[in-house]
Amino acid sequence: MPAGLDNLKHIVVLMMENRSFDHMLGGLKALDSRINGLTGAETNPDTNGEPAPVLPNAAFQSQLDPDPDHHFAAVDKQIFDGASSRVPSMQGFVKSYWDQRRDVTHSRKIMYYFAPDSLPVLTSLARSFAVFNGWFSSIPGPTICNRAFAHYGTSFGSVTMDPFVVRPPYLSVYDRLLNGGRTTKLYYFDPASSTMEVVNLLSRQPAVFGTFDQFLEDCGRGTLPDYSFIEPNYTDHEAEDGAELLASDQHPDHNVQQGEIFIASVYSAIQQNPNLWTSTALLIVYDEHGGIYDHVPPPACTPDGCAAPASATGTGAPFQFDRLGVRVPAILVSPWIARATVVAGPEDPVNGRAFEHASIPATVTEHFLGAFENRSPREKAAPTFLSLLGDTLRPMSDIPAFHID
Amino acid sequence: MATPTHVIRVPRPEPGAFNPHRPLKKNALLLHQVRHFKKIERRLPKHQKTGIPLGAIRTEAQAAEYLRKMMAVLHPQTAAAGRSEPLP
Repeated sequence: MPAGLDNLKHIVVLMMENRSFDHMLGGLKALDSRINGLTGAETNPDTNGEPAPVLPNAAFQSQLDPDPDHHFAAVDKQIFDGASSRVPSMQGFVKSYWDQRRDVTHSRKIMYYFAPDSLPVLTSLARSFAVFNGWFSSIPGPTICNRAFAHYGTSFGSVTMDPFVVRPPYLSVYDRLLNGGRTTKLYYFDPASSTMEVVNLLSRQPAVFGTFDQFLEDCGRGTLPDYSFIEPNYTDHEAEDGAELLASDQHPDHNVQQGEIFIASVYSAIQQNPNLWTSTALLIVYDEHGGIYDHVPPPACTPDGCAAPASATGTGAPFQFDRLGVRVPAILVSPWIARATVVAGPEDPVNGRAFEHASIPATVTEHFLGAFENRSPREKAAPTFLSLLGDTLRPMSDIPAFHID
Repeated sequence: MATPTHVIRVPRPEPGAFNPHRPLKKNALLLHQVRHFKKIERRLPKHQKTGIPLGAIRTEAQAAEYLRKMMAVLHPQTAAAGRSEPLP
């Protein structure tokens, strides 16, 4: 077993909101050709038939208004552009966004991406640790069903934002760990932001939850559980002392820079405790693409054993959970990972792997519990990511730190 | 353990980024989160209900206040503490 894996005591997952890989990291291809980002030549046709190019003009706020549609039917249009052949072309993003405001000029903004120096935290971590060329949302749809895959390895047939019904034999990763004598916590930002797991987890298992303040304290005291899942702040709201707390989830139209600060705060809390730093792997990942352009067609995948009816998909056809959703940013941080690791995705037909959110419970379960039978077909087929940890501990002089201006 | 020598500066958002009056209908995620809490609230005993009708929650600030009240019921372990410090 590699020394990095042998030393691994904690896995931390930070799941952000609604940004595609190309939107956040696509510009890195110009700095490292191994990263499957943008060449600058990618386009989508607008509703006048004119090509709308990708441009490094993404703004931190007030640009993607209205919130780009990312419900199942809209994402289907973004991926397939209405083609009867059902070949995923990624040519329907501009037309899909036009549907909401019927403004051709505005619809072309869905192709915008951030220049790498606009996102110093995310791009620095991507270039210093491991960035995944092929991490996909689990469903071509919205938040709740996608986050379900991170917690349960399945959405139990849901492709919507509605609460889903947990059905045996599948347990949440938290239940598995607790039943196995391990420790786990789901940290939400604060009570006024709360959690997206209210219906199935919070209402039945409040002991699993903590706040972000508690996460910071647990990092400082060295009392972090085996597995931690962190939720950002979902709302602009005032603290009890009147301080302004900006949403940090990066969901349009929330400020992207505040999300950068939040990512840096999670990273720094781990990195500043030497014992924690050498024994923790931090995965930063986004739940889904939020309707924003990405150029990589989502691959087919192992069916989930569930089916969503046409009434739920809104496309006129049922969905068999046999294709992944749009690609999202994913970065694995650990001092045991070689600098500038790029994890191959579908662009490499020989060595590439398609990770998805079911990879999270698959990895956590494998590492802390070992073999575990009662998991969904999708989770059993999902690749795990701890093989990226090697034998060499990088010195702190080779590790980035962040200073908030 | 040595400290990192490669320090990266991270800019803060521009003043004016804070917008608690943003209409709730502009954020499908938050809108559904509020609806999920409403479903939970229906199952609560009368003395634990917030008394806030769904139609009265129109902005992010109002949603946050509603969530805070519901969390005080659902997760009293941490709801009382709140969060008093902004991020660095």
